[in-house]
Amino acid sequence: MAATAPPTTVTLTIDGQEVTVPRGTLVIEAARQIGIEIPVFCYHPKLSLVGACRMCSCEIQMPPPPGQQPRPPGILTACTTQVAPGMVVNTLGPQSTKHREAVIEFLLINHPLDCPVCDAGGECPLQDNSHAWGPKESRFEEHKRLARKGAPLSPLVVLDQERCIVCYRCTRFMAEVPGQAELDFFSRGFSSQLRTIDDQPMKSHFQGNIIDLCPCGALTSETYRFKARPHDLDHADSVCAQCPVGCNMIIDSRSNEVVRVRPRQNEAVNEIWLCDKGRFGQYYFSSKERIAQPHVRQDDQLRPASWSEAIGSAAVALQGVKGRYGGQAIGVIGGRNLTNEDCYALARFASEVLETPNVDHRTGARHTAANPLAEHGLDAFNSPFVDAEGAGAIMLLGTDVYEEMPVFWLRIRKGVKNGAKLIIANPRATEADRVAFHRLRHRPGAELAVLRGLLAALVESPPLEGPAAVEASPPAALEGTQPAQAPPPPTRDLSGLRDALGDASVEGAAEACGVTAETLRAAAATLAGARNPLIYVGARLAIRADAPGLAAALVNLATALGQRRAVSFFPEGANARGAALAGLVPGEGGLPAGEIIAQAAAGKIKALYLVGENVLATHPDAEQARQALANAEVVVVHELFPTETAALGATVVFPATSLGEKDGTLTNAEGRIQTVHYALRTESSARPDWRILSDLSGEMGASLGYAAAVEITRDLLADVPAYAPLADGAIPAEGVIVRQHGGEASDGTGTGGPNASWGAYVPIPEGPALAPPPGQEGLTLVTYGELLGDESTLQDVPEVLEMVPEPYVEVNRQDAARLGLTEGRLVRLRTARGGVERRLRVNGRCPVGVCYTPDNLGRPRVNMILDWAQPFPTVTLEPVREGVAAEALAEAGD
Amino acid sequence: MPLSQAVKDLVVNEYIPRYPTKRAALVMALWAAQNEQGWLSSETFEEIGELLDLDATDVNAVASFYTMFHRRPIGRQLIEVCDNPPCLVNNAHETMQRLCDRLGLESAAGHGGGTTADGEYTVRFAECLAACDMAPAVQVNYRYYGPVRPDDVERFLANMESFSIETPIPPVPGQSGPPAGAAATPAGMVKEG
Repeated sequence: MAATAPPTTVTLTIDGQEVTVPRGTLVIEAARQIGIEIPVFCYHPKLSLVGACRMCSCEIQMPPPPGQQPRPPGILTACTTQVAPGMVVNTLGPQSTKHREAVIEFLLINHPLDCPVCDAGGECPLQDNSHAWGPKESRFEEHKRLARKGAPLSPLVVLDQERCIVCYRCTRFMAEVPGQAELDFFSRGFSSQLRTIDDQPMKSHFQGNIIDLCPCGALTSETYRFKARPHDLDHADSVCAQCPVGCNMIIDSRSNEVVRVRPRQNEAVNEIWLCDKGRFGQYYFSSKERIAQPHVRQDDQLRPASWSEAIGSAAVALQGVKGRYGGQAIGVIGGRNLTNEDCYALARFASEVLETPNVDHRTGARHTAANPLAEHGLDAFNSPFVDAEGAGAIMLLGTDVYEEMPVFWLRIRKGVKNGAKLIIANPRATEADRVAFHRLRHRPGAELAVLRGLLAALVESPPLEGPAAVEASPPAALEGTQPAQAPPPPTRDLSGLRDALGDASVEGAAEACGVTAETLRAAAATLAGARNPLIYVGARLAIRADAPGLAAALVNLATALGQRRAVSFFPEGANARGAALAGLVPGEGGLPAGEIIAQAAAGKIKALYLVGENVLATHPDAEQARQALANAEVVVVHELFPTETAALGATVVFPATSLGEKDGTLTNAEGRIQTVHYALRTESSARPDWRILSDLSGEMGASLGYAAAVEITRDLLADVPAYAPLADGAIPAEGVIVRQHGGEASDGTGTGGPNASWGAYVPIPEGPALAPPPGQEGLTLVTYGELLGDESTLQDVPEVLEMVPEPYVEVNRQDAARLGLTEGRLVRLRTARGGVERRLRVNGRCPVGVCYTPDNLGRPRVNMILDWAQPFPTVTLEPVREGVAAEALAEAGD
Repeated sequence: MPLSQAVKDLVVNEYIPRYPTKRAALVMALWAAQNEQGWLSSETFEEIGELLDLDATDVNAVASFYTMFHRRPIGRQLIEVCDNPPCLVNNAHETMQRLCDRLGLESAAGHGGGTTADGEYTVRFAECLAACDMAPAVQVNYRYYGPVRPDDVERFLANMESFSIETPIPPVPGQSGPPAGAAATPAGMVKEG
């Protein structure tokens, strides 16, 4: 058998060196392995092959068939040629260098050679390759082609068509990686032009990456154009804190101002990509809008104060509340976007100095379990990101992952390209639906019914016992001397699940969630038949009142699929995972963040300590948040920007430093702890949150005693059990995944693992009814966050603000027709609380009877009209006459 | 105007099965669509993209590669004047100039043409028509005419058939009927913008 199987490796000779590589390797990659660099323009390891530029041409000779004369070497492109046994590659042969010289000469015929005014100058592959391989002089005497210069492809990306060498890297990226073919080359030959669809601006969240990919300065960044030369820049390795993916980035600054952000390669996290918020949304570090000094409230006005005065007055006020009402009258909210060091200092401050159990980082949370899966012995996120690439099926429940964790969406797309079947359960269509295999369009708030339906369908036709189940079975079963080779049962025994489900049926669940029983059965069959199924759940579901029920149902689903670790919740902030690990979760008898605000509004919580948390904009009931700020005796705020929360309610405002000015660590969604290095000096008097807390605790007589972030890192790693494996060593550059449950703190396979409750099915607690019963007047409102919302980090960059959509509300065509409303109309979205104005989008994304609006866009936010008691309110839409906006805004407040 | 079911059926049942990949049927599909619609709109690109699992942008970009695909509405009569050397030395540019003058179109040497306001004529240059013996050769809706010397233009427009050279219409694989533009007025014809 082995003799006839083709060998898996190939040995060839490159520039006289013998090299053995796996079969199918490209010549260019084989050469790279032995340190030989072949020049390229169009080739990119992350993209498909086109062989368009011919720059990598080498002399390649094959051994002659037996008995024949050797043939002379041919000129072949190393980027499209696979290795073959006995192949002889000469990358520097006279023919290949002559060929490359000709390629460069041709490319430069129409290239304007305006390097002195080109942003790419100094870091340009065309420039480098021309110097290395090009002819000394051009023989071209005619006029160069003229084409568009400085033409915007979008507010963020600028095209210089004259510089373009038509390598197709940008068009391949857009079509292959995010799957948004917004760019293509039109016409042909020397008149080839890069154009967008109907010449409309690009809309993708990933367009910044084509700037990195462009090998010649044809695509440049609107925000970086003409700002600096690469050799003038200072660089700092950092991690993006705009979403929980934790993409690695390099902050390039000049004269202590951020001029651009580039991705830093980390194959386990972001590969080499960044989303546009990560790339263009870091200018706020140097924002002129930042709060520069502490403020205290006097006569109902905030006035600037010295640090000592502010610290002193906060300490007195907090001591007063603690003395009068006890520590449990204080609520602490914050940390989801802070570093682990800030989180740990805040957690210690809350428990040791304020002595309150009311601590939470999850704005709007309605129940205390920060990780709803914890009681089932699982982490909130149970598989490394990379596992999505090898999944046989991926289910997305209650998330618009393209908006929530965009760079992770690229990983899921990779999984889909590798054959994963995507199952999406969401009340409305999202970007991900374009490649979905099953779309479960359920009623708002009916996720639990969807899961019951899937479970009931699995009970009806249980999955076959397959390799996935064998992999995932506990080691105890495998440690037997010789496992009996008895044929496995044809299907998995789900009697335990049947008991846990009670009398739930697929039809009953279908009735409750609005998805047809047929679709539920089909989706369940897809999950059951898939190798390594994975289920990702949106962050908003983790903080909802029915989260314990959802978690139990999800654990049952994962267990029934033979892969208990299949289920993962997205975190509700960039460093929410880190905040939870650092202890920013409700203590014994403590309240979740949403309840802290509700109780403060009711007068039971007397002091609020808000760290980077603008509750007026983020709490899902602005009126309640306003009351909470009004009723609390003391409100201490740490902020970067003068927010409405600080302006309206703060007793003391401390200016904090931004991520770009901090050293520390962040822990991303998958639990990977990564190091952040400061890029900028703080020019104002702002201080890191941990230092404010340390100073304040000293003033309150129980100093945390921290003088540097690294001291806190040390304490954090020693104190938090999950970080224990790191306590004595440095954190590696690519970060390391830590686990609270299930053992190994490393990139495990994410499959199986021994567990006390392995295989046990848990009862599913009934959740509260969230959505109004169907058949009501009006539309059910669904809200979610969008990537480009929370504009405070974008406000200094007009180009990025242009990308932020105008606040909108989306309805189905049928509803729009019924209401007599058309696309683009300004409408008032109204509840009993009042109304907010939104631009109408009419499409098929929302089902009939449902409308959607992003809750982190526009002022006032939609939370202005939301009621804490009604997570899915019924709203009406009425047209607004344009030009009377001010009047309507005033009305919204009443 | 959406593609007719007949064209979709032709693409799905005739063209796609001929090739190992769906994408390979793209040019055929574009040709069939243009034959029906007279030109190729963004809507058509999307419809073809759906048939062949391609992005509309990709379809559009491929169409842009070929000068015989029209991405804007064209006149009912597509007049193409050859400007390759034998026709050129026989005053093809002057023929183009006279045509444009007569039809009220702006013309600059080498960039002749445009579409008349009434949507009747589109005039443009063509690459070699392989009718050098009839230089300057002219093609109207893919039928050959010639020679059309500058002085003949008035007479040519009045009575094209007298200039006809009998050549076969380029075959349209798998489809009967006349090729692009030759059909009666395509519906939805709008002025070229």
